[in-house]
Amino acid sequence: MKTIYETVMAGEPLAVPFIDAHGHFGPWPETVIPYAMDYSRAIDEMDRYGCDMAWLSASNPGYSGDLRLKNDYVFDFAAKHPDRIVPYCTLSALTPDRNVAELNRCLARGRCIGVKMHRYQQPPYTMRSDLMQPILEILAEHRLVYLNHGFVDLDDLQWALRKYPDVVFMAGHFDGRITRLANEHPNLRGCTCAANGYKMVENEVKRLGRSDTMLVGSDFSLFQLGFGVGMIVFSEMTEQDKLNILGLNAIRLMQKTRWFGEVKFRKPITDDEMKG
Amino acid sequence: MLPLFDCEFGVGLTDFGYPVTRTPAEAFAVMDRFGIGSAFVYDRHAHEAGVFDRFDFILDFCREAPPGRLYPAIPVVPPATGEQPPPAELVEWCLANGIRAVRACPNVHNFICDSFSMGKLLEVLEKHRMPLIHTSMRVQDHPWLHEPAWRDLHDVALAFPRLPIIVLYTGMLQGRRLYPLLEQCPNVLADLTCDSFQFVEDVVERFGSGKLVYASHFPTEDPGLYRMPISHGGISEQARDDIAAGNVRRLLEAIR
Repeated sequence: MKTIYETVMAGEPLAVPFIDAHGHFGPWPETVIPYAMDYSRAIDEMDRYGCDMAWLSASNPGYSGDLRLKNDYVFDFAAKHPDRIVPYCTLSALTPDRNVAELNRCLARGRCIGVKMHRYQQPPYTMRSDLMQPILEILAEHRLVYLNHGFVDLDDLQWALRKYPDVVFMAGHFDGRITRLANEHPNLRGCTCAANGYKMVENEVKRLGRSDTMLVGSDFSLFQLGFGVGMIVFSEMTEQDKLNILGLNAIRLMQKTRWFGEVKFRKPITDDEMKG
Repeated sequence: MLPLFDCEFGVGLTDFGYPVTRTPAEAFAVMDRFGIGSAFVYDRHAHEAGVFDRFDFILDFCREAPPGRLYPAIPVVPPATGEQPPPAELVEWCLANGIRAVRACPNVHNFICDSFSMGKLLEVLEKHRMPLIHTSMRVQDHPWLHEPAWRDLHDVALAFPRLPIIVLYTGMLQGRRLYPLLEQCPNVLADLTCDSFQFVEDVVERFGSGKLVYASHFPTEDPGLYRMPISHGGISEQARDDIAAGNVRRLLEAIR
């Protein structure tokens, strides 16, 4: 059996579980995404890379156009490919009065991995802000993920980590402060997205001595999938570390959801691999 | 897929925390891991420190390597400053020393890379069909919001239509500014840092597979970032080979 590295060097799709935890779907005003709304192009790319599932939020998440329409782009895509695309409900500090209704509407549409929020072009907020509390309460009830572009106030984040132990908080982009904090908080995760530096993820795993707190993310389908998976598959981490980051850590989070039993995975996962 | 020809591989010393590659063997360890067969190699210290008249390190580094693996690339600046020999003399010296491409880094070295500032040198480079590698990244920079000096690039590409120009770091959100350049300037090639979903597929469909090249951007970035769109993109095997290495090798063969 080929290693992950050998598989990629041979130009083949990954044969191990690969779940991209940080992506988007929809049109982008600031650059050309040639096939931004093309379901088949996205699924075809996932197939070529061996990507089993992508967790996607809206494009320009929470800072462009109408949030409801933007969420529908993603949830419509997921409705067509429910075992490949799992949406985040995108919310915004621009719409504090509409967030709860929008989250409930999204949850009623089908599988949803959680909420995504960004920072650009909206009022500042932290995890302690009033607008966040009803959102986090709903996520706790459903045992879902809260993904943010980046956590700016780590004290308030730690307050929320303790107050909402059933919510898994995830930073959207690679941040050593977050992976360090994740050693102390079992409901905090980092994402590898934009860990552009040479061996940045591999060195972080060495430093932490663990690989169960990071999930692979690529900003797909704003960017190509390799932007997230490239620095993992070519690294010299152990196969188990790669398995964790590429997919098993995401599966562990999905196991907490109410809908996990309905998901049909394309690749077998052994109990030994899951135990890590 | 052919072994990659890397259009930007930095070696030597730096204090910015990037990996330091002191010997060809250390460079090959990185290159081999990513399937990089050959590379345009530059001296990271000279790049950061602004050394334009002494190239012993990079020349010796590449001479120690087996033929065809490492191609030295040196920085160029406006001839008017006198920091380098006159253009004809400089290019003759490059050719005599195995240098097959020069690097213009207008932001790091603080000049304007247009025909007004660089014309006398570009004229000679064009005569020899020697590629100009253009990167407007700063010493510490991120490609996310990066924006090259597009008007200067248009100016140079149109003024010197037989000068091969390899644009590195086109910016991750700059597709609407890059595409017109690719469409209208046959002499311009770009690396894959635009990085948009389906960028490679779309450029190949619209403008052909002759417009793109691979650059690892080692040591400032992980070479894995931009490799998989070539090996796993939805393009033909011929297009894969062109982008991986064929396009650069054809430029090398065309140098006079």
